[in-house]
Amino acid sequence: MARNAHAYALSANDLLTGEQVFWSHQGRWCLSFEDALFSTEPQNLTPLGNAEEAANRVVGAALIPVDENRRPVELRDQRRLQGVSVAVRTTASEAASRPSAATLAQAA
Amino acid sequence: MYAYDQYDQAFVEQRAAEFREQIERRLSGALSEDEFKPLRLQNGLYLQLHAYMLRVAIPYGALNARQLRVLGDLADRYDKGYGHFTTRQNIQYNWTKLSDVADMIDALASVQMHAIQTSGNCIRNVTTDAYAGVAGDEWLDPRPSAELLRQWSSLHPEFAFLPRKFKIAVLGAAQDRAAMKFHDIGLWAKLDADGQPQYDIWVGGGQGRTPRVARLFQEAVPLADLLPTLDAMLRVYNLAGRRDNKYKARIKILIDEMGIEPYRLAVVEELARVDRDAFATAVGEYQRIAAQFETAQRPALQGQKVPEGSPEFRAWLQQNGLTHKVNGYAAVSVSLKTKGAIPGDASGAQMRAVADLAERYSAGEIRVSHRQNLVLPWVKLNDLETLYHALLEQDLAEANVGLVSDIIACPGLDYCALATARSIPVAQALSLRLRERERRQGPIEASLNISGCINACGHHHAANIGILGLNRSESETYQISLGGRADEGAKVGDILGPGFSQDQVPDVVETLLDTWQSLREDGEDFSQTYDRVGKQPFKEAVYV
Amino acid sequence: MSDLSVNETSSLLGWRLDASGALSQPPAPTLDLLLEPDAAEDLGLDNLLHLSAIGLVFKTPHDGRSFSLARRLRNAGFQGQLIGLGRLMPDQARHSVQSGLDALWLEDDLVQRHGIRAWQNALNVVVGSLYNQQRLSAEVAPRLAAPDIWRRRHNKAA
Ligand code: HEM
Ligand code: SF4
Repeated sequence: MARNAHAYALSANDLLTGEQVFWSHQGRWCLSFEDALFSTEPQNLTPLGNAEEAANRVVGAALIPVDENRRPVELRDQRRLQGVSVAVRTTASEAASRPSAATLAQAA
Repeated sequence: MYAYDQYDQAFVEQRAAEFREQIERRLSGALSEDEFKPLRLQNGLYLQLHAYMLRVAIPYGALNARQLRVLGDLADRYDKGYGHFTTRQNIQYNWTKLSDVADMIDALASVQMHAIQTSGNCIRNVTTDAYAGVAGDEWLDPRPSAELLRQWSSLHPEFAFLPRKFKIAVLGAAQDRAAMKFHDIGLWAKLDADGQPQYDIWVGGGQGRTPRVARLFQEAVPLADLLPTLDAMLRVYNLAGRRDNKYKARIKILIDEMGIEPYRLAVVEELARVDRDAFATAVGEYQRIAAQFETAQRPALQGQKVPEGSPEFRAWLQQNGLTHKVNGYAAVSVSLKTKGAIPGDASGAQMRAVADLAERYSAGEIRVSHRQNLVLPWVKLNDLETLYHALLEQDLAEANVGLVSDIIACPGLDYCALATARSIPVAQALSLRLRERERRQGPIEASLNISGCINACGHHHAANIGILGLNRSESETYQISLGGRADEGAKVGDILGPGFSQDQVPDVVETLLDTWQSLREDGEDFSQTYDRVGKQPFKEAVYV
Repeated sequence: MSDLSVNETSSLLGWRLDASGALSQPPAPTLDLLLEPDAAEDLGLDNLLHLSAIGLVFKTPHDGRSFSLARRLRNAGFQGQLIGLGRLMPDQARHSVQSGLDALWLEDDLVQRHGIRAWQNALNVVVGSLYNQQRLSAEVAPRLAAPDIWRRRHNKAA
C-alpha cells in the first residue's frame, strides 16, 4: 500500500474508448475524478476492479491512493488526472470540421 | 517506390479482416485482455494513460503523397487532429477508440499501408536511412532489402511470440543515419566484387535499461544466405532467450550471457539444418523489388541551379539540404521541430500540406527520418526557393535539422503508461531556449534526446546530451548523460551525476553547451571534445 | 523430460483442430512424447527423429518456443505427427500449421471459453498464404497445396 495514503479510488480504462474512468458513488464507472468513490479499505475495491475487468467493461483496473485532501499521492496519477500538458489542437467533439468517411474513401 | 501487387493487397486486407474479427471477439468477451494483448500489440494497438494508441508502420520510412494524405485524414477523423512520427519510422495516433481501429486499418489498407508488427514480441517494422536511394554516400539502396525483410517477417508464424521485441535496421551508405548499431540486428549492405548485395550483420544492439551497441556477427553474407542466416539467428534466440524476466529478454542479454562466439556456433549448427530450398525464391524476389525502386529513380537533369534567394533561404538549404546522388536534385528535410514544438508531432493539415508539396516538388515522395522529421527526396534545384516559401507558410521551414534544437523526444508521461516523467514540456522549453541560442550563435551541431523513462524510446543513451526523466519521491527529476552517439561510431552516453528539476534543465543544458564551446578545438564535434576531455569539466561546470 | 503416457492423455475430454481447419472430438491422440520446451535442449534432436507422434506443449499464449521446436524438427527431417497442446488461442492455429504442426489437441474448457465458433473459424479468417512458407508437415503439405506468395510470383512449384 502506498505511503501517505489516506484513502483510495478505483480507476481503469474503458474497454471500448480507452478513456480513464473512476468507480463512482453510484456504483458504476464515471468520467470525472470528482465523482469517484473514496474508500479507506482498498481490499473492498480491488475485487471490484477484478470483477469489472472479468466482465469486459474495463481494462487496467488500479487503485489511486490519495491524501486527506483527495489529492493523488503518486506522480503518475497526478499527471494522468491533469491530462496532457499541451493544448490538444482539436477535441474529439469538434467533429464538424473533420473530413467525412466519404472524403477518406475519396482520398484513397 | 514499391507498389503493391494483388498478393500484397490481399495480404493486408486479410490481415485487416482478421484484426476486425479479433476486436469483435474481445468486445464480446471471448478473448480476455491477457489473450487479446499480444494480438492487439502485433497490430500496433497499445493502451496508454488516456486512450488507446495506434502505431502505423511506414516501412523503411517511405510514403507517397496519397498515403500521407490519408495519414493526415486519420489524424483529423479518428484522433484529435495530429499524429506523432516516431524514431522507428512509424506514426502514432494517441486518441483512438477500440471501436474505430478496424476502420482505420481498412483506410490504411486502401493505400497499401498497415500496422502489422509495429509492436509486440515479434519482428518489428524494418527501418532504414531516410535518405535511401538519394544520399550521395550510398553504395547500395537499402530499401529493396528492407522490403524483402518486410515481406519475409510479416506474419511470420514462428517468430510472433519471441521472448521480446525484435528490431532490424538496414543501411547501405557510409554514414549511419538509422541508428543501426542500436538494433537487435543491424544489416550494413554493401556490394561484392560482382556488384551483388552482401551484408555485414551486427547483432545485440538496443537501448532500454541495458543499452548495448551491436556486435559484429558476420561480414559479407551474400544475399542468397541472408534470410537463412536471419532465420537461424532468430530460432536460436526464440529458443534460448530468457522468458523469466522481461528486462532480460532481449537478444542483447542472451549475447551478454551466452557470449558472441557460443551464440555464433549455435547459429551455425541451426543453419546447417535450415531448409535452403524454402528460401530459393528470395534472390529473385529481391531482384523484382529492386527493379521497382530502380525505375522510380530519376535521371540526372541538366540546367538546374540553386536559386540565389534570401539569406534565410540559403541558411535553410545549408542546414536542411543533403547532397543528392543524382545531378540536378536536392533532398531536403522538413523539420518537425519548430521553436517550441512537440518533436515529431504534425497536424492533419500539415500532413496534407506536405503531401501537396511532395506532389508538386518531390515526385510525390516523402520520407520519415529517425530524427522524427520528414524528407522531400526529389526536389529540383530550380524549385528549391519556391518550396522554401511554401514550407514557410505552413510553419515547416525551421532551419535546424541536425542541430541541438532538432530534439528527439518520446511522448513521456503526457501519454505513455510506462513513463516516469514527462518529456514533452521539457522538449518544448529546450526548443525555445536552444532555438534562441542558435539565433544568436548560428548552427550548433550536437544531438539532444529525451526519454520519459528508462525504456529509452527517446534515444537518450545515444545522444551527445541525453535527458532521462525519472520519478524521485513522486517528483519529476531529469538525469543527464553525455557523449552518446547513434551514428557509425555508436556509443552509449555516460551519466553526468544527480538529476535536476524540470525548471533547471534548460540552464543546465546551456551550461553544458557553454563548456563544450569553450573547450572545443577547431572542427571538433561534441563527441570528439567529450572523448578528449572526459566528463570532469562538464561536471564541474554544472555542479558548482 | 515429461513422458505423460497416452492413457493419461486419453482420459481428457478434448477436441482436435486439424490443419484443414476441421474441429472434431475423436479419441485423444497417441503420443510417443510430450515435449516441454524447457526439456527440449537436453533431449537432443537425434533422439526424437524416429518417433511417430510428438506433443508440443504451449505453456502460455505468449510463449512461442514450441513453434520453433516444430520448425527445427521439420527442418531436421522429422516425418511424424506434431500435435500442439496446452494454452493456445484460436489465433495461433495459423502459426501452428505454418510452423509445421499437424493438429492441435485442445481441452474442452479451453474450447468452450473461446467458443466452438472461434475454433471452427480459426483457420478461416486468417492470412492463409505467407510470402515465404517453410516445410509443412508431410501429411498437411499435399492438402494445403497453395504455394507461398514468392513461389506464385515466380511461378515455382512448392
Ligand atoms: C505508448 C508508447 C510506448 C511504449 C509503451 C513503448 C515501450 C517501449 C519499451 C518497453 C521499450 C524498452 C524495450 C526493452 O528494453 O526491451 C521501448 C524501447 C524503444 N522504443 Fe518505445 N514505447 C512507446 C513509444 C515509443 C515512441 C513514441 C518511440 C519513438 C519516438 C519509440 C521507440 C522506441 C525505441 C527507439 C526504443 C529503444 C530501442 C530498443 O528497443 O532497444 N517508442 N519502448
Ligand atoms: S521512453 Fe518510456 S515514457 Fe518514453 S515512450 Fe518509451 S516507455 Fe514511454
